[in-house]
Amino acid sequence: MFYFVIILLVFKKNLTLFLFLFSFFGILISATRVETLVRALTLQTNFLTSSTWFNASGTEVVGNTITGSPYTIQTNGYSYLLSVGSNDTGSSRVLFGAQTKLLADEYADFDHPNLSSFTSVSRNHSFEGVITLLDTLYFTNVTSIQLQWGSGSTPDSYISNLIYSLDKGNSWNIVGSNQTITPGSSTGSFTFN
Amino acid sequence: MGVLLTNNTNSNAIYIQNPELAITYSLLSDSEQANQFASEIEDYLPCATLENGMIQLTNIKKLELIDKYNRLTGNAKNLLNSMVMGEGFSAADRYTFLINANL
Repeated sequence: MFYFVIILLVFKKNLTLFLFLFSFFGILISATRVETLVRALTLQTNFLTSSTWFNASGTEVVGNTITGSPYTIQTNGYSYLLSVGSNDTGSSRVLFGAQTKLLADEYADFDHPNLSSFTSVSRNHSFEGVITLLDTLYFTNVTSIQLQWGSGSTPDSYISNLIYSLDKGNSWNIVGSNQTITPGSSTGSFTFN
Repeated sequence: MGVLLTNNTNSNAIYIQNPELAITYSLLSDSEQANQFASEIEDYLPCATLENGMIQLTNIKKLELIDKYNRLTGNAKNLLNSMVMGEGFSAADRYTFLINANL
């Protein structure tokens, strides 16, 4: 009888241990499965390297200084639009925007024909520009968009808005909340959630 | 999708070096994909004027629906077969009807 009780206790201990381990790993397995089902994917641009630039005429452009915005830039299998700027490959620098009025005139109020679909989101300001994904993401739930930068100009600040298209870029919509960003002279980022 | 930047200080146009975008997203589940697609095709008819509240199907929309259908996962396409959208026909039947309609 004594031995039976001992065995029963050992069994109960093992059973408890088994149930404990099963529940523990079961949670892990379940958590892993959930993580797999809602796994976040990220499209990360790389305009500086690993990218192919096309100018406003659709011609691939290479060289020390690439000009001719607006650009279509193919990187990591996706196409993006950079409305104004240049790619100074000699200095390993991509510039979004322009400091000179001459260049600014090229994109003021999105008056370039290639940018006509953005007039609906224009703030009618002399200095504005967009960086957008041109490809459609099908059956996805976008959770965040982050704009990253290497540096900016001091003391400029910018009003930044999310924009999106539901018809392959034929028309664009703006998300109302204005966010002020001040790139300054160092690296940084801003995330829209 | 993307970002619009407007200079807030009027001092210097836009000037940002080495801009990059990071877009984070998750894929919809098979059933969510099927439901979303079914919900969309339910609104279209080749002759919408005969039925209130419907949208006229166009050739452009037809091509868009074909494009979207091809992006569905295999399981999502199968789910359309069992999704009842009317008496005796499924969402998959309705999709076939729409893309074969003469406009």
